[in-house]
Amino acid sequence: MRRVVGAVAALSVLLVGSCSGSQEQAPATPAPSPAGEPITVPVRADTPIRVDVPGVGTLSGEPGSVSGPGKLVVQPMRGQPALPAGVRVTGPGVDVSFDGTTLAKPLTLTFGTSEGKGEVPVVLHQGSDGQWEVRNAAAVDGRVQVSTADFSVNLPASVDPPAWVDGLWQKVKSGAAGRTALLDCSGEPPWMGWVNPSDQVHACATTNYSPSDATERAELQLKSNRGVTLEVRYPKGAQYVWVQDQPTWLRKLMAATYGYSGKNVVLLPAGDTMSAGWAQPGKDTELGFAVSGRTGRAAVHTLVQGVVDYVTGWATDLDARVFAAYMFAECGAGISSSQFHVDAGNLTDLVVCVGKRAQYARSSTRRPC
Amino acid sequence: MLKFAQKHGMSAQQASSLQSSIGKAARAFKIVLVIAPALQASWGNGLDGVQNLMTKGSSDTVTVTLEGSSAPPPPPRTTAPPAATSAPAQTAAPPGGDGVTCRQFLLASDADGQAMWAAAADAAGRPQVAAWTGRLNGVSVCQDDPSRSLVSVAAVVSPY
Repeated sequence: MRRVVGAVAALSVLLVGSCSGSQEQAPATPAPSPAGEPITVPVRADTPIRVDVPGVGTLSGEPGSVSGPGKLVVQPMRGQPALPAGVRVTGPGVDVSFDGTTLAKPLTLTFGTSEGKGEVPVVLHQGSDGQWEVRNAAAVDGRVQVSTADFSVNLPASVDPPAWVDGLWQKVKSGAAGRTALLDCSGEPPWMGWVNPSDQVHACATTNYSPSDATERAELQLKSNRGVTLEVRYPKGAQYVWVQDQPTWLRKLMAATYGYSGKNVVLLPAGDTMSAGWAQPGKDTELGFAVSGRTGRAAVHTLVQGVVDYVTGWATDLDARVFAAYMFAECGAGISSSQFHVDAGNLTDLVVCVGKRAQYARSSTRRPC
Repeated sequence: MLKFAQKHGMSAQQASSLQSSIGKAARAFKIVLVIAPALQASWGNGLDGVQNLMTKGSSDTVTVTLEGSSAPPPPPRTTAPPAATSAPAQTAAPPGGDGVTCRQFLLASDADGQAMWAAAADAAGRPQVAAWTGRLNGVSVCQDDPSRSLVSVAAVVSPY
């Protein structure tokens, strides 16, 4: 018996991607191109539809799939979008259009191949903004099958979950083992000295005058020297403590969700910089910044931010930080950040929860752009 | 989402930006939902490997000294983290007794002391035997026989 899944997913029309937003889009990929001559067939509302597309597959529909008499045009398409690890295109796809009629019910596309052991058949659908989305499909007799009403370009594909996950681990591991660029500030006041014995963190110092009264302030800057989050425990008494891409409310949120005191602890994500400044004290003062990337909360943050970056492909900016914080606050209940103990079950729960919440949020706010 | 934004004091602009991020993430996270049934079994040993990798390492302390406005002129200070030098300067050190000989390694600066601490232990052909404590300008390595056990690696001069 044929299984047809994915109708719900296929009905999700992509509009969000073309709306405003500051997230960096995935890099543009070569546009799909025609893979042969278009096929034009007459269609009627009271008859079933079946179009054999040589070298591609079939397109079929029940009676009532179109609103009335007209023409159905099937253009074979070939495309190779930039894909994450473990995802591959398994054949040419199609772009479908209608002339003199409109689509009334989803049509069924059967194309590509689905033969890899353990691979999950999917369809790659290109939205109106050119971005690609993975959609549910079924494996039927060694082919990829999907019921869809969205007919911009659809390509048959498959996902190898272990390979996709391995891509994530490779990214996280390479970040943990890598090094980041040095900080380059200089010109601290003569009354400041500092020592950085650690290769986990870059440090530099400079002078930062108070904007209100031009008081000379000594400023220390710190930055993770690894592609991991550092937990920084800073001393009290600074006139200011600034963290890149962490406004005050976000620092409070992160402190609450990761379980630390926002008054003297900062989670400093990979590549981000923090700074603290002091006016000259009345007496000699020694201050210590304890830095570590191995605490439970630093490691959990590294993992959560790594998952977000891997899945979305975003640049690490304020929006990415905010989204990761939101994601962990809403979906990280099963993960303890007091120590790094994340198992396969609660990691799965976390990412699936985020995926579902995102789908819900998108569907509840979708509107024309 | 709006409740979340209000609860955490986000500005309207930031709440809007988060909403946009969620919309974009929804498309990206579709793959997670599609492969969800196979996902749990796929994390595999990689998760353990990442756990081991991310929980290794140490906690370090970056130290800042601020001279008080009423204090006398300060001693020479570190203004930038110097690169670790290739080898510590070596001088004779007082014997340790019972056939124990000692060599003293003077550190060029405090900042590269950690590397020299390890280098001093290596010079004696022994693994580092104690954690670097920082703020030293010399270490003494004492051995009863260069081919035998290391008696101690000790700090000989401390703070400025």
